[in-house]
Amino acid sequence: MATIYIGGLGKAEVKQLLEQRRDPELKIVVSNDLEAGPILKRTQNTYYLGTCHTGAGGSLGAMLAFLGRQKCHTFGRKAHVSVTDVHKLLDSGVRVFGLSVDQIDTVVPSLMDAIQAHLPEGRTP
Amino acid sequence: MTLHFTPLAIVITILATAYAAFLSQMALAVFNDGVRPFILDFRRGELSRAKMIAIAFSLSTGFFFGFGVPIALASGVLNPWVLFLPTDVLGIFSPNKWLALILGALWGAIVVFGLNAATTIANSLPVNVPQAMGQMATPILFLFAFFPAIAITMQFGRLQGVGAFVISAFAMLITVKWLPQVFPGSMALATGMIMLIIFALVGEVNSKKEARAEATSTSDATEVSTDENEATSLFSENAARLRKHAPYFIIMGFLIGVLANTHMFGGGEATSFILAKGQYVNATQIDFYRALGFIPLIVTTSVASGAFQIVGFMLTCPIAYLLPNPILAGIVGSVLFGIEVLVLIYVVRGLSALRILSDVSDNIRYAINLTLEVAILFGSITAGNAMASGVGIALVGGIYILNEVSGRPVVRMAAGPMGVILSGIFLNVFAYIHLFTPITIK
Repeated sequence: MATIYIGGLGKAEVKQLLEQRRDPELKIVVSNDLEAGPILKRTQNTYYLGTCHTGAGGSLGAMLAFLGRQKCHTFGRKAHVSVTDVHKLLDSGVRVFGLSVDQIDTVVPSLMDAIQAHLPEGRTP
Repeated sequence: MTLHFTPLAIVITILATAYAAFLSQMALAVFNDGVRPFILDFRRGELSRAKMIAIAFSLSTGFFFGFGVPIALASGVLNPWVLFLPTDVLGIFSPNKWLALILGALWGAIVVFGLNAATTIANSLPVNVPQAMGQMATPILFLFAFFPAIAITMQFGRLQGVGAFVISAFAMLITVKWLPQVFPGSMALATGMIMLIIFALVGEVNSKKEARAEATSTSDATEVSTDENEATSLFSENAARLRKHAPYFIIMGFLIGVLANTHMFGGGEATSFILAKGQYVNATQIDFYRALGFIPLIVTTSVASGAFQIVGFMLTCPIAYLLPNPILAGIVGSVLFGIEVLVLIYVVRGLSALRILSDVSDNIRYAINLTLEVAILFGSITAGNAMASGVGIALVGGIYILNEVSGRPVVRMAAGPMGVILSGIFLNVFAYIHLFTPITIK
């Protein structure tokens, strides 16, 4: 079961969007960078979705300090993200995603599709 | 409405951009809050200069062309996006300090003379865009008064939000009726803010009670602390780096203070339009509340990266608008920047303890954003109406919607002003070939 920690400006919007998926396999926690950072570090199959104006400042916040750059990615103000791109990021170990608040409705669905299809290391379908 | 840059404003702009590029070169401060988190790895040498330039460039271009430029052209007033997003990139690009200073100064000169020329030309054209932009102030000032109610709805629920909205509206109506010397928006805003603070304090106390109840039932606190210690020692290290360089920031504070005091530089998204109208008290009020929404973000990214924000906690601008002379504004800016870098580490500790308050800050930032989006769109459409009545409304509104469906290359808040500028150019061309008869702009 994947746990998604949500932080940044568009918390409420992202939460609503994730809840609409009505997926019992998905745990949603509203949080922030200072709180979720240490949790992501010591857990597996946990992800962080941050939103702000730039897609990197309030979105990633202190995440790079907690987890290192390799585990964080920003889509910036990019409007379209393909599921394949996200798969590549997930394969390389990225678990923190930053995106712009005004692109939530276009980016979050493909991001979530990819995360849910992605199987963490050591698990077979 | 004609605005001209005084010699002081020109000199101080050039000094500020030169020095900002210098601070970025030293990896001591960047303006783009999104670039800041990456500075940590850049400083440590884990991120190459070429890659860092690419990151800074890709995170900044959208905001420069899609936000800073349209707001500056539409208002005739400088803003930090147009001045300091490029200096971030120029500083990171420069292999040495001298080049950063020179490139930064050049950039400042380009912007200040370019904007001056653009405003002069725009004012001499038959369809006067800057004059039409005067329509912007009223919707911004009145709608801004409701941002606390929006923030309350986001964080504490619909019922509380509607309550706050109704009470703010009453405050506005009562001020109009019985206190004609007070600006109605200010009274409603103050009322809303008091309610937001009360909700936040009550929420904080309740969440502390809950946390205490939980802490007695579970006991995995030891595991958390080891992970947190590692990060907090990095935070202290970064904060110490910034404290050690305090004199560098004190100089930046002086420059920002003087720059804001010239009233040719607006710190926030909407303040440029208010400053252009000469309403300094209102500009102060807007930028002060706006700072509340940004301080936690600036503090966290600063201690996480070891790089500060070029404009500090954004408190210098609102104070400097009101000060009687540039020297005093500069001194106040210096003092503020000095205090800000000293207290960083204490504020971040406070933030991790006070969850609700840091959430309130996020919601303030987002609520201000949402109210300004509506206000600026309305102001832009009214400006369209002032330029060419119905045709103007159609053009500005059309461009706004076009931007919406094309993946929003222009940030929503700047899409309206961008629409006004493009419509203005279009109408002037049509006026030149006698296809459009300019109307008097009130």
